[in-house]
Amino acid sequence: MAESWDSGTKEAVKQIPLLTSIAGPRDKQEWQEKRLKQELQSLIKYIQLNKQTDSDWFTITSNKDGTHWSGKCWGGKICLTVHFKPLWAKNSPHFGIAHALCLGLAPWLAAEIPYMIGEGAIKVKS
Amino acid sequence: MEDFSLEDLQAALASAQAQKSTIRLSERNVVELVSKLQQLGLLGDSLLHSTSGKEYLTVEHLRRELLEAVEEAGGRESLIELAGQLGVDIVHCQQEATAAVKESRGALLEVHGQLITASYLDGLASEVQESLQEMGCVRLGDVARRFSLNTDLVTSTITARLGSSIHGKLDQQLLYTAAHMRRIKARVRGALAGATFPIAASTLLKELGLEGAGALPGFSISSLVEELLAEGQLRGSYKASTWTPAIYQEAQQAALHRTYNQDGYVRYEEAASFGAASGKAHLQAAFPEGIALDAGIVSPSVIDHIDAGLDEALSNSSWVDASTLAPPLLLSSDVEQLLSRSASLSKGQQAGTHAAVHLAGTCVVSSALLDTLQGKANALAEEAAKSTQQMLLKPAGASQPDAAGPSPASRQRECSPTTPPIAKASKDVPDDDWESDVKGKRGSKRKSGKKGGKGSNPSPSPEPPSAASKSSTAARSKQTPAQQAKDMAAKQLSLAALQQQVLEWQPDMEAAGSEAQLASELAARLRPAALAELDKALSRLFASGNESRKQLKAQLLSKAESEMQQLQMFGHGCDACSADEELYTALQRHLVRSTGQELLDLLLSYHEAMYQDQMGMSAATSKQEHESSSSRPAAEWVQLIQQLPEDASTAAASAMQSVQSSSDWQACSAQLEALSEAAGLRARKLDKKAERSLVHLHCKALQEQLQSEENPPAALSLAVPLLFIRVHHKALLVPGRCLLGICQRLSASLDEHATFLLEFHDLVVASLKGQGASTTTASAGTCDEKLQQQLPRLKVLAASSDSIVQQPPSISNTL
Repeated sequence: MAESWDSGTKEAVKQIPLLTSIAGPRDKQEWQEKRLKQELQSLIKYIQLNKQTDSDWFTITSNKDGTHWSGKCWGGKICLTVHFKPLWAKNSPHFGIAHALCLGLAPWLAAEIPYMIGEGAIKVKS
Repeated sequence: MEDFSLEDLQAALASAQAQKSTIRLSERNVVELVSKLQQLGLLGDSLLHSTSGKEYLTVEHLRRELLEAVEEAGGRESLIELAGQLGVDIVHCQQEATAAVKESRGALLEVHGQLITASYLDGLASEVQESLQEMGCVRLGDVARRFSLNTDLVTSTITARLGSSIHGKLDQQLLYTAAHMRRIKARVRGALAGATFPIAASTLLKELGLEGAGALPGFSISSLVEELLAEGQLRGSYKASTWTPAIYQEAQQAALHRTYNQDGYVRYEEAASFGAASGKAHLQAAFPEGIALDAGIVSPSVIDHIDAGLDEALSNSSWVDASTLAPPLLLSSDVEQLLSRSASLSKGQQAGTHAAVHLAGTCVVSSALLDTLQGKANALAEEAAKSTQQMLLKPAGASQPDAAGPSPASRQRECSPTTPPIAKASKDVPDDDWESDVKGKRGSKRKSGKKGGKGSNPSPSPEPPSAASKSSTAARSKQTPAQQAKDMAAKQLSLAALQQQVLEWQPDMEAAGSEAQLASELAARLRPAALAELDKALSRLFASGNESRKQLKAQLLSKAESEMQQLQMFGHGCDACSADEELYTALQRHLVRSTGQELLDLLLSYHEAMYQDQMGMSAATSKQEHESSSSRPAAEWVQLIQQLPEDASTAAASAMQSVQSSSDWQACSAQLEALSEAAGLRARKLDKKAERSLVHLHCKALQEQLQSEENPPAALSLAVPLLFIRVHHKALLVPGRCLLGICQRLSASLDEHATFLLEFHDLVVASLKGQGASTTTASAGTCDEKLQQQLPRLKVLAASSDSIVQQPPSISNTL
């Protein structure tokens, strides 16, 4: 899996801060006090990096508890269950939402969008 | 960051997303932007981009970089390499190079895709100058090859710098220095001066390593040689691109003269090896005193040498082959020419003395030797005449010598004067056909006895050598014996036979003379005289034969008459015993076999002599035949009988038959008388007076033998006939087996001696039996003693018969 990323992706993921808290949305306090904060911090850093390199490619927001996330990317959506489970299991708790976007959705978009355009499934808005 | 509240962080996330992204251009965006600017004409036409497409440069910058790169490369670089180095398309490089060359005014050249600066060509010129100074001669082709430039560029470069940076002469693509030319001429001059044998100019230059010197302008070896010859620095000649030094010509002439003086001759073939290409003319000019022959020129001293050899041979009564005296390898015709100039021969010919004879081209035979050989040839002719005549005398059934067909050489060897081959063979092989000598050459024998049956032509005409020539055979059969003899003898003196004989006399003459013809020519020279001698010898032999034959016939006649009388005398003795038939038959048979046979032999010999008389043969041979007649086998007589005339042949056959088988002496006597009459003899009847006289002579002879006889059996065989004469007054031939019968017959008339005679006979028989036994018994020894004791009495008894003979009693005589 690791071999499939390009060097840019690898460089990008290295700059995203790693998470330390082991908690989920059901762990109310630990989640809100630590884990959610770390998630937001890494997302902010990743978005800043993208902005700096003129490669901003998504927007994301959550509810107040951080239990529901929504956003938009420039094209497609990502499945983060089975396909990326080995990666997450291996890097738990360090990888968060930002890492999932960087390592999962971004390469997928880069591979699939040109194909879909070629097939005529999506069209560029002019 | 942990100090921030959750809300702050969410607000920070929202604000971070709300910030505008930094705008950054990629290389591709930039390339597209530049292309767009070019399309819009905002950048002008002089902008070029590199082959990678990431760099842009102006044409001025490219030109500058090109020149710098060429300078860095040493003043010469190819455009392809430059395009690679600068990362600019080669088209742009070529355009800028062309523009740069135009603007350089000769300082920069573009040659076959390469940019070459003037400084590079200056360097090339300096290197050429260095090579020129080092080697003296440089080929522009080599320079072009060395610097990988075309020859035109090199030529123009060198030409432009001649006299400035390059010091030499350029001619026909060859650059050389004056010193180099002087060096070459000096080397060639040295080589020519040092040459001791002819050498081709090309070979000389090759050996000097100057193969290319011939191409040097202004260099010509012929002109150089002429120049050196004119200056006197060289001695020799230069013809057909070959230098011949004078020392070589002098050495050749010296060798030619040395050979001539040493060997006395020089062959024209050899003259070429001495440098005299014209051969004969050259040698004649060189040796005016020499004698020009077909193969070479000869010194007059050679003739002196030949003269000396001839004189020696003539003084030794010998012969000489002048080719052995003349220089070797001369032709036979040359030797003949030399002989014709010989003083020894010409003196003799001028004087007419002919001390020598010139034969077989190159041989000289002294007259003395020639006379000796002629004598031998004449002797051979005489022997041939004798042997031929002897051969003709042989009966037809007798064989010719060498019936198996010996080789001509061996036959000739037998023809030596001491042993005539035909005479020898006639002794050795008497039963073969002498005519088969000539037939033997074709490997067959044919009895000529058939001719005897014809009677009309009894002559044993020899067959011709060739069976094919029947006409020749017929002609020969008509020849006289003398002619046949001459022909046969002439064969023994054929040219080939005589040649072989000459080689036997003078073995050293083999292979002598031109084409080994000496023996042949000598034989041809000897033959006419030898044939004349043969004629003479044959005539002499036939003439002498007639007289001798007469004497022989007279002897035979006398002997035959005597034997006839003895036959009758002994026959009458036999008749006295006719009462005892068995004894009578045995006595007659013995008489016929002994006396009758002898008489028959004599009569046949007489007939043979008559026959030879008719054939004209020599008496000497006939005598020889007669002497051996008594021992001649019956087969020869039969053959002779077949050759005799018909009447004589019939009588002779009857007489021989009678002698061989008859037991009646009177019948046999009649046949023999008929045979004698056929030969013209008249047999006389034996009268009583003559018979008495004969008996008396016979008696005397027996008594003389008896007196000297000491052997008892032999004495008895002599005594009994004597006693028979005493009793019967008849002579008798008593064979051993009839002794007892005669003794018993005599015992009645011998009174008291009868017992003695019979006892003596018994003792003789006993003694002979004893001697026949393997061991000597005592009784045999006793018998011998008794016989020795009684032998004197027997002699006395036999001797006393003499008186009885003198006064014979009257007895019945059947005759």
